[in-house]
Amino acid sequence: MIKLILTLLNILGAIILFLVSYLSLKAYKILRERIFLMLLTSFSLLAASMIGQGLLFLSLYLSHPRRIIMISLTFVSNIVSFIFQITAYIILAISYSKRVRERSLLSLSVLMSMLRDRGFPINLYIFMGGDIICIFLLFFIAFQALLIYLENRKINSLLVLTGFAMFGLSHIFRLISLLFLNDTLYIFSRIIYFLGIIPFLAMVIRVNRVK
Amino acid sequence: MKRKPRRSKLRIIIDILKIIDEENGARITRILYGANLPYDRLLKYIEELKEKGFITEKRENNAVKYYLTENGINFLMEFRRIESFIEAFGITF
Repeated sequence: MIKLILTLLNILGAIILFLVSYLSLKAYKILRERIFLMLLTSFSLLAASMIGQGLLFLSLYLSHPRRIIMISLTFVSNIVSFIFQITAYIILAISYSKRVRERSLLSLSVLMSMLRDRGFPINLYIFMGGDIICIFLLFFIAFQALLIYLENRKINSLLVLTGFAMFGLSHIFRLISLLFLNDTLYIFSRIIYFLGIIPFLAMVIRVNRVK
Repeated sequence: MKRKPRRSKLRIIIDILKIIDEENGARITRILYGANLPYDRLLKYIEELKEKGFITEKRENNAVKYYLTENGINFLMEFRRIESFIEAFGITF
């Protein structure tokens, strides 16, 4: 039952993220700035990773395939989802460091050198390594979002900050769940991830209310 | 002294539309002050906005006033939404 709920949360979350992508597309059509294409790509990738996993888990839930097929498909979908997420966060981090009002104390290059110096065993622990990269990228993105919020004090900026911070928190929980092989923590991390999408929905609703 | 960044063409168009919207129809002098543009450049923008169907011209008491059309109102509303969205990400244009 919990798997079905998580699957549905994935699909619902993907729809919300697609709405943010759609707003980015509209912004691009009007302003013709490349940064909106970057936002469009990153939110679409996040949405695609969620909907892909959601639909796969739903079909596995409904068709009850053999265990080996189930494990293989889940593994592949997790890898693809990770690649999509990391790419999305990298694009977001680049777009934040590039165009967003230049008030940052950290730069992407500093972050990358931090990652390099630590020498994460990405080849050995793909998922843990992936999560660690996501945490670092989201730390950077949330930090930029915090600076923006401190500067403009807009509720929409606070919602974006909350969303990214919760994404980061969810990756921390997922990393801990992988370290201790704890299913409850994994489920918890997925719920936090979904809760992180809610502020983006609130932002989309607020944007559409503007007259 | 730090120079103010140049306004983009879109920013100028939005400024003009906002003034007309706020005044619920505005004369050229009001737009001129509000948009902070030289007269000849403003006329070019006004012509362009009329061609695009965003504003319309009406003669009232021997004076010409400009009003937003349905298209102009929709464009401005769409822009305000986009503005609120991009502000959330701290983007300026």
